Amino acid sequence: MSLLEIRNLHANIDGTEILRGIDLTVEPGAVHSIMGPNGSGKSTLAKVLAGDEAYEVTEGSIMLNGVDLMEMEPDERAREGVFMAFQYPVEIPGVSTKYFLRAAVNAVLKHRGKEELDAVAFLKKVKETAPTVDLDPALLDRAVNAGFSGGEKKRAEVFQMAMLDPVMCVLDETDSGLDIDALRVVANGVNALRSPERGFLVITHYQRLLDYIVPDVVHVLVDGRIARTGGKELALELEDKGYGWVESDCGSACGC
Amino acid sequence: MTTMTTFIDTLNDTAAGDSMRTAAAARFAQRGWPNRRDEAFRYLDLRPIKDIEWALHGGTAVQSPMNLDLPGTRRLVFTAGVFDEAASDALPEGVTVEHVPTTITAEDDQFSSLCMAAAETTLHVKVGEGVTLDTLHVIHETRGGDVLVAPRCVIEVASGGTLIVVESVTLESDGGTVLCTPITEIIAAPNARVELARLVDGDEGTWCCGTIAVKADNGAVVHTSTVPYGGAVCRTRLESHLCGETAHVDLRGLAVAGDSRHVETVLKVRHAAENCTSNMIFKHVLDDNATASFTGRINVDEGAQGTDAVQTSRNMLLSPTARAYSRPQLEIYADDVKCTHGSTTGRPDPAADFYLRARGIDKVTTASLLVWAFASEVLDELEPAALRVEAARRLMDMLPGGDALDPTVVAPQQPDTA
Repeated sequence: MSLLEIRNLHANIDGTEILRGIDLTVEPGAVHSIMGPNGSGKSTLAKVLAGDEAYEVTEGSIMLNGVDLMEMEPDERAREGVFMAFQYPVEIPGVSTKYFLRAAVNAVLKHRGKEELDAVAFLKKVKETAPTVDLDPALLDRAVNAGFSGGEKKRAEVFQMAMLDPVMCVLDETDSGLDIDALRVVANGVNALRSPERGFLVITHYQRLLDYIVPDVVHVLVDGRIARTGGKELALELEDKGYGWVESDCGSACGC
Repeated sequence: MTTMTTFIDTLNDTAAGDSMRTAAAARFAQRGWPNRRDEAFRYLDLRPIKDIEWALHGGTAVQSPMNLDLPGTRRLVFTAGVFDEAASDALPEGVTVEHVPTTITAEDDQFSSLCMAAAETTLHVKVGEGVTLDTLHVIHETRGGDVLVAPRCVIEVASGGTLIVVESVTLESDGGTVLCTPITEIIAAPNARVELARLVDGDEGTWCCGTIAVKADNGAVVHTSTVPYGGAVCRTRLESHLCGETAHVDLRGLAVAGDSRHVETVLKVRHAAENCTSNMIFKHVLDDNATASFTGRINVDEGAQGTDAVQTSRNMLLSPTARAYSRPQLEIYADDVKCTHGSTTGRPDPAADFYLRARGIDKVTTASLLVWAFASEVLDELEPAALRVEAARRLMDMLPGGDALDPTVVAPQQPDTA
């Protein structure tokens, strides 16, 4: 059984159709990358997978390990094992990161029928995990993302991903706003999480991230559809020729 | 009319022989109950209480006291307006329960006149020069039907003295209405520091319409926090007079209200001396048909140069029928001043909701966390520190799913202490 199966997915926001029939299958252990020009629907796809209610899904299906996600609320999907690293992590003053994360970790553990972590066990896990993304644990005493630098926010996202032990990781332009050193740290954090059971959907605008997180499959999203699929060399080709190449190529080849 | 006449007669009878009380009764009689044509009462519908034949100082102990756990504080208990010596800790030096023949230093309104006419005793707290008094926990508990209670407290802190006071008011209606009109006056001498927190709880038949009046001299610092947890109506009038240079007041308020509750703050900060600062933050979380009104007036007198006043009023609406009214008012007669005011009203941030839920936290807990995140800023500054936990615990008890939150760990550390 495939890990993630997306069939004919259509979604719109405020009446504008953004996704126009996405078909995508991710096998366990695979890293897929989604690339595409601005406005092609990359972030929309990430948010729709996570269950953002701002988007209306009009057609299609999303299955995770054979379980239908479509009727699930965002929190139910997260407990099932979907994790989306936000492009713009939200600042929530007044809620401590540590508290929020322990609540999240325990919600997931409870759903999996595992024992919840007490404060001591949770801190132990934090201390083990934080160094993998070079995250200062003192940040966790602060409010969720509040006053974090751009790099800290992205590292905190990957840190949360590691803490929550998801089966399907969706990274929504995690590289945006990162300098080259931070990019390497974040990529190493992601690579450390690669495992035979876990799948990744790495959404990015630039090929650069894929030097560090090497994908098995690259998809190019154009105008709400997957216009081209290939191996990691496709990303390099795109870098060379630009998205216009895929768009025109798509136009003549498939007549869509 | 006859109810009013009878009521005035009762006030006069009980006040007989006391010129301050009879004068206050006369002021109340002259103006009568406020009505909505009066700007300060525009959002308060007083019709439910105008025709009640009030009994003065009746009532009994409450069945569900607030039970704040504040270790190291001196508890002073007033049951149905009467000092309960047996239930209280020993009065520290300088603290007396007596009748203080002073008039309120701040401007009077109908409810403060009523309180001064009806109050038979006053808790009088005098803190000597440079003295730090034990933290006082003043407990007012009244249960009854159609009862008026008028707690009165005068706090005088001499130069360099320090005092923290927590007032907890619990009202329970028993087949009628309870009206409580607490007045607390704080007179802070140069460099004195005073912290006052007033927590009010009640039910659908209780009204608390009180006043806190502050006078702050040179370099004095006064903080007040008002937290109405319950009651049909909870109105607080805050009058602050910054009369000495570099005095500072910090006025905070937080209310979480549902049903048809009404929460009201009418504040006036008068900057009468140079280089004084004032900070006002009032937050309301409103559900069902609850309403809140905030009127914040800042007066800067001629010559009060270097004034720095910051006023914030923020409302979170959880239902389409909840209403928040916010009126900032500035009156400035000096030219070198900084006065800012900001008011926001809106629903909880959907982006924050999605973020928390995308991490697996369920809908109800997320909603509670977001209310907590909005409200906690006001509780963070409460003194003594134990009150923060107690106030947070009570707040969480009111939130659906709030019992899953742990008030000792949910609050983040401030960046400057992290």
